[in-house]
Amino acid sequence: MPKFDAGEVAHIHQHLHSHLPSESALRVKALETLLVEKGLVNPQTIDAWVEAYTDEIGPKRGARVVARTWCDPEYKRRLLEDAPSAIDELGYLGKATGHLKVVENTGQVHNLVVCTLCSCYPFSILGIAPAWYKAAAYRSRAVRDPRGVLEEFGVNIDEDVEVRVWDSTAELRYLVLPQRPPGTQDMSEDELAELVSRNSMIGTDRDLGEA
Amino acid sequence: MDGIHDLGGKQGYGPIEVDSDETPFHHDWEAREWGIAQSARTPGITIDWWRHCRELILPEDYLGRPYFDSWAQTDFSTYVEAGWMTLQEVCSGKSADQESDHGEPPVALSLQQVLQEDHDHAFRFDAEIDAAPTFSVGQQVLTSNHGHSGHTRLPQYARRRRWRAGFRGGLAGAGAGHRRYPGCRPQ
Repeated sequence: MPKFDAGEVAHIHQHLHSHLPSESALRVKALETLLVEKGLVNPQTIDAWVEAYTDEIGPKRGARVVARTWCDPEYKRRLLEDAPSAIDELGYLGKATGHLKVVENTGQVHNLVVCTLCSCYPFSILGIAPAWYKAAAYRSRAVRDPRGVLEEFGVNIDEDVEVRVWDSTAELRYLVLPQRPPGTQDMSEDELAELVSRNSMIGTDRDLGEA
Repeated sequence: MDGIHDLGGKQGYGPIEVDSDETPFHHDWEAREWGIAQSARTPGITIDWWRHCRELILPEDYLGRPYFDSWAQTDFSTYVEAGWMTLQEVCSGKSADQESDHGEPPVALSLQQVLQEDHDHAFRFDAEIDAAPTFSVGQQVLTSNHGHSGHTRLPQYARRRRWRAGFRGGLAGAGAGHRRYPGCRPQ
């Protein structure tokens, strides 16, 4: 059982730094082999988790949630008031969304989500976080120069639009609700969901384009 | 802790490698590590403890190695500290045990069972505590100047500054026992 000895963990990291093989693939292979040999993991269950987050759980879920809000004002009200319950209506409640806050973009406000301390992300509705979200460049600068960060993504925010940055925590995750693009009045929920990019639900994309 | 992981507001990390690629995994080993992290049997290892162990990775490894690689290293460190494997085993990639001493191996879960487990993993951390809130929404607050030696939710850029409380986010680390570890403070 863990002893919760941070000093010992620091020593272990020092040892691993010098003695583990350099290649990540070899490290993970060794980890899986040891866990299987010790009866701590079942490789078929690993396969199932990979399949779940490759084929079933991903940003298409978030896009469905967004499209639903564009079509159903009552659903939008419920989502903004109690996001975990509202996404559970679609069967999307899950890992890291037990506490979820939805922040709405408007003509006057743009929202941007980051996790400066780790890489916290609402897995069950957006899937695996993109590489840039987990990288030091984004995590360091999103809270210091959000407009500059957005420009790097090709998103230019007018000076009179307020930019709000949401720094995720271990408990609380965020989803940006992008604005419905103009000219989409006649589109179905399925068609609208196709317009919603993953980045728009993190806040690094804003105008989803006209239909 | 005030470690290399506390990146908010720091400068010098260069341009962002922007992409809109929605592929979840770019290497098989990343996918395997994700699956291991979701399914390995790890009694007693709390989320905050695992997170703190990731923060204890040497700065050059934390910044210089791939993201899911740091998950694997964190897994190794927590398993070794817990006594479930030795450093010699980790570095050789081979178990010294003749047979498992952890009881029956876990049964294989199907995709449907895993999806159900993901749904059941929507932990809520609400807890009744015997204390009144120290501030209310809209009130101006002055944040503390110090974190603590474990995993803190108060990053350095937000310390010793005046803020207006925007909404009630709850007390972190105070609730369900599976999050906490000795020395971990409610925040």
